[in-house]
Amino acid sequence: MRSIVSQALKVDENKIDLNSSLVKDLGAESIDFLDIVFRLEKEFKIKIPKGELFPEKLLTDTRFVRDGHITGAGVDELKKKIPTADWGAFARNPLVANLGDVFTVGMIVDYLSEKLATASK
Amino acid sequence: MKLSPSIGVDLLEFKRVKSFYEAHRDSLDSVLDAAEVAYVRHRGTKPAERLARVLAAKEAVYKALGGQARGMAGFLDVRVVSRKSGKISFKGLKIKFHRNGKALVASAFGARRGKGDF
Repeated sequence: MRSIVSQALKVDENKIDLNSSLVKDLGAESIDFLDIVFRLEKEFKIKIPKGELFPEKLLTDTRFVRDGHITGAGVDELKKKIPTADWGAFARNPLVANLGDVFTVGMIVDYLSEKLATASK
Repeated sequence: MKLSPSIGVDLLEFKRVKSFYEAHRDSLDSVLDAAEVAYVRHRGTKPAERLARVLAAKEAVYKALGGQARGMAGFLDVRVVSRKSGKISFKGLKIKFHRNGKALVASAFGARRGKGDF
């Protein structure tokens, strides 16, 4: 996992741990999120449907985004879609601009673990 | 409802897009629609550069429409290649590109009614 993130973000593996935020700590941009998804799919031979790992679709839904904030319904939707992320701090100040900070390497590891466990059943 | 300005800008480094294209050229249709893929692959000329234009335009339009999520590819639902003309465009916005040897900047601007979000 560390190797995948390192290759996608061109960041030294030693700088990556489970708590590393993709955006805040590792400087990930939009293209990097796509890169990570594709690399995970190839490495683990899984299919990651759009919006399952990172909730892109939610960001264009006016039920969930208003005036630069994620609405209460939006936060609930995020918690449902991505239960492995830590939503506590974000929910107290749900700015869209800060959403990327929630996504950590650990969140991806948890998602992968569940995905692979489901696939092996 | 009064008009408000819509402006979005995005910068992409060619080196970054080139390595992305080389690693994932076969997966583009999972993030681009058919018209966008056709634009990238047009006559096989400089596909990485054409991909940079598509991605930067998508992000610039997403921001012009009020999108604020940093990173996260929030632009994925934004379609920027006209099925009719095969060119990069978006209704209601002007899309322009500026480049130097290392990077491409896409800007999308216009005026729309209402404010903020989609």
